[in-house]
Amino acid sequence: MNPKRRLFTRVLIALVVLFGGAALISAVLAASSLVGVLEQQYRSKGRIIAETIAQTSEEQLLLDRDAAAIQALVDQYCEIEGIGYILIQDSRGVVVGHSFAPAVPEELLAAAATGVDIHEIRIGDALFMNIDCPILEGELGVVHVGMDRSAIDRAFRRALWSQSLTLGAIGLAALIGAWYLVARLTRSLGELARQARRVAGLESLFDSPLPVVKDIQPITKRDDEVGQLAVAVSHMIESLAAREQQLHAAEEARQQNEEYFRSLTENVTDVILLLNPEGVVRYVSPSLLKLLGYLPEDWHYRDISLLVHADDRETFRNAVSDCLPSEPDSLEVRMIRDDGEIRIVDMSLINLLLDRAVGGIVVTIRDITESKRTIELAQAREAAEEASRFKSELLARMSHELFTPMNQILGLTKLTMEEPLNADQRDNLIMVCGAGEDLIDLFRNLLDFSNLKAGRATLDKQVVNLVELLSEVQKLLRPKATTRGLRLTLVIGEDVPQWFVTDPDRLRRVLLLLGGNAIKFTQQGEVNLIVRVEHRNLFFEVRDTGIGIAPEKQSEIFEPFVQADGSQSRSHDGAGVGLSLAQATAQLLGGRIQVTSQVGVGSVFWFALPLEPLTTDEGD
Amino acid sequence: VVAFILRSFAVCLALSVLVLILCVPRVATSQPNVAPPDSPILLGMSAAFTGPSRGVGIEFYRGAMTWFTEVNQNGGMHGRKIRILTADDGYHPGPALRNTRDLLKKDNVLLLFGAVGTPTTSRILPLLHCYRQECMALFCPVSGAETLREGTFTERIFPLRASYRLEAKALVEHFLASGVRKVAVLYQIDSYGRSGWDGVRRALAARGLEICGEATYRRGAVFGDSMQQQVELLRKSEAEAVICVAAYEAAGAFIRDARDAGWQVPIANVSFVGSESLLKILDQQAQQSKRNYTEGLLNSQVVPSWTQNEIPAVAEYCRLMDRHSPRLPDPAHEDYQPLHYSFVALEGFLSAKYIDAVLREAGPHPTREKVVQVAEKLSELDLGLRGKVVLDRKRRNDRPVWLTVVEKGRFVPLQPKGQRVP
Repeated sequence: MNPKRRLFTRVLIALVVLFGGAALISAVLAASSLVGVLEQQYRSKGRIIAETIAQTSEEQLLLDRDAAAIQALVDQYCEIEGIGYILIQDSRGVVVGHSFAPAVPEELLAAAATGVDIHEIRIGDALFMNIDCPILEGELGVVHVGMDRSAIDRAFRRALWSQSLTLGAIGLAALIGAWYLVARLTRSLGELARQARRVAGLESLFDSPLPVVKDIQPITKRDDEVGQLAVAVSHMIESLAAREQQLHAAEEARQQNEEYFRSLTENVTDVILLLNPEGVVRYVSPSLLKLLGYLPEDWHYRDISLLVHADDRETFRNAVSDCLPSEPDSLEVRMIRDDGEIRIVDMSLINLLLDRAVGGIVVTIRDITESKRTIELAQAREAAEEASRFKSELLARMSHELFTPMNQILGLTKLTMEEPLNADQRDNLIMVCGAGEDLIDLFRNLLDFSNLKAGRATLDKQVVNLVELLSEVQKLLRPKATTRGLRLTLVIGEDVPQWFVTDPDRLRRVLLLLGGNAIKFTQQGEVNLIVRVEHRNLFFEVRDTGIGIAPEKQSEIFEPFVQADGSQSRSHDGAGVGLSLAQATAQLLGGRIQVTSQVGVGSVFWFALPLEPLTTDEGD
Repeated sequence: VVAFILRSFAVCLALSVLVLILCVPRVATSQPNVAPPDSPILLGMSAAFTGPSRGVGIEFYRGAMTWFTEVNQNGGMHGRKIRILTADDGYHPGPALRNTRDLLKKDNVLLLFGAVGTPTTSRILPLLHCYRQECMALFCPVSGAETLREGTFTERIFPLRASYRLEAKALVEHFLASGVRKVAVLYQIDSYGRSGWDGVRRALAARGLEICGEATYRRGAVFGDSMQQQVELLRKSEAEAVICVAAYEAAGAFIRDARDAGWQVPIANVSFVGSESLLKILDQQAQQSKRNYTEGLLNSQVVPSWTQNEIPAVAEYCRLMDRHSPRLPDPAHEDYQPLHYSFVALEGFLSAKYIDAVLREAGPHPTREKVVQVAEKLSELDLGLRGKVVLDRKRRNDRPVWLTVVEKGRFVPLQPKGQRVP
């Protein structure tokens, strides 16, 4: 049952019972007192009438007038309310006037005959109050007046009815009024109770804090106790709402914070452990699975030291038990993955036993296996680079040291050749000279190559007369070609500019190396040096009709100390450093030498350099 | 001085105007019974035109109007028409009193006429006494009550008919002469019934006898009511004759119930019963139950039977009634079937002739005083009843009474041979 209804019903029932009871009691009391008064009045009335009739009858009876006169009195008085009957007897007892039909009742005649004062008489079903009045002290007769008791009863009932009706009407009005008032009161109270329940039921206040108060607002306009209550409740709700909001904000912040840290904890690759002083795990972050392959929940409340390598276990245990609150400790131990692999980890321990929020030892485990390996690799590479650098240094230094004695040898040889020698001697000396020059070339190439490789080479760019440079190259190559019986041609494209910005020495060297190489591997035919412009690039091409290079060898030929035939028994002399040097130099210039070749037909070595526009003063 | 004179003049003028205003209506009201010469002469009649005794009131009126119509058609009374102002009291004392007062005060009638019934007329006696200074007179009440003829407040009442006491005496003497010793009375329990009862009592007492049994009924009883209790009571008293002092409906009911009970006692009625009305309802009842209710009925009358054409007044009545046949008075309901001839109408006719005589004597400008003076002086009057009617108050017991029995559906005079009850 609705509590509001209950209060409402109770009040109404109480009202009805109280009012109904009061009304009934008051009606009965009033009516019964009315009966007493009425009886008194009726008796007085009857007495007056009886006396009046007696007095008036005196003359009629004395003068022996017609009985109709007396009857007229009876008729007249019988019309008065409450008169039941009138009976008049003369001195002889003869009835000279009465009001009965069809006849005077026997019981009344009998009672009247006794001469005793009749107080009350029952005639048939009706009860009458009888009043006797003698006429002239009984000398002339007697008047009996009967007051109808039922008239009193009627009056009583009428009074009771009208009283009840009046009270009922008042009661109804009061009830309706009370209904209205109580309904208003209980409505207000019910509303307050509902809002209080809402508040108590933790219904969200922040979503709609205003409507709640707004619902109460009309009630607060009342100036009675309910209104005051409503004001108090609305204030309470407002302050509750404010507090709730603060709480909610704090809770949200806390949750965010926790989420943040949880996220941090759970997403870092480091494993975070919370241990009690005995080394038993109270918390372990999920990264344990990633690090060591174990499920974190399997290690809750277990000794984590079991995961530590047996050799390091004692160290770890000591570190845990000796860890001091003020001094974070750090150690490197090995741990064993579930697949048996050993991981090197860095552990940092913080004693937070005194921290109420944590109350344990926090251990952060970081896998440093990989980084350790990386460091080792870097060290190895550094060592290798050192060795390479040392080699280049050695080579350069050695080449340089070789130049001086070789120049002396060549110089002295050439001097000796100035001397008169027999043909054999001259031939021998020419051979010495040739071998010496080759050796110097080799050394130079080696030196250049090692310089380039060591990164010590620099470009000396300048505006170059390209045609002149090409002609010089042709001039330098011609003796070798002529020696081998080959035709050497230079073809310069029509649109090739005369001026070109580059390092002339390096360009010349690349072209010489390529040209020398082509001559070296060509037994007969010709070697062509072709320069042309294509796609805003300057193409340098060296064609020969030599032995060619097998496709599978084409990628190797630019490796240092490799010759295309690959056989241990080299059919061609040279250290095989030329193409490597040419490639390195071309790359320095901004190009890359590529090769197309067909075994037995010939090879084409070519590279392209970007055709950089000249500045105006150097143009043309 | 001039101012004083002017002021005095103004005061005098104002005073005279005031006196005029006060006097004019007083002069007018102080002469209420002086009517303009050409206006009709107004007679006031408060009577039962509805209810169980309406037959009496209506027929009396018609009888009276039979004569007044004749008078009015023949030039009127001293050139003035005679009108009866009617007011219905339904045979109740209260309305009768109020009607009478209104007739006196508002309608300013010259005289009251033909009040019907004892209780009603008894009630207006004090009123007449109250208006004795203005000489308000009641003529020809249709009541035989002794109280209207003796004792207090009766000096302005001028009855024409014989009293119930005389009727009762005639009936009792008739019964005693026919050998009956035990007479019972059925009476209306009011002053009418009591009056008849007293008449019977005195008549019997004169012969040393008493009423052997009595029964009453209440005024207003109708034919449909049962009178079996009353029949039982009187039968128990072993009455040899019953005298009814009743209205016709109650009397009819009693006769019906007595005869239905197989009690074939002679039953007598006084004139007020309205003989034709009684006969009418008994005839209707007889048609229903195939029983003769009219046998053994004996009605006393204060006028001769209208069958007695040898009497000049009766012949005149029949002639004029045939000629005029007055319509019903205004208060009567349309459903009332007027009687052709009736005792009551004849009484009204004779009463009208009495009034005629008084007014004729009172002259062209009758006042209430003059009417009373004339009426008081008039000790005898020939109404055409073969001998003068004695009107002297002191000789009131000399008025005639006729006994009638039913024969061929109407009341006819009792012949000497029929005086013996079978």
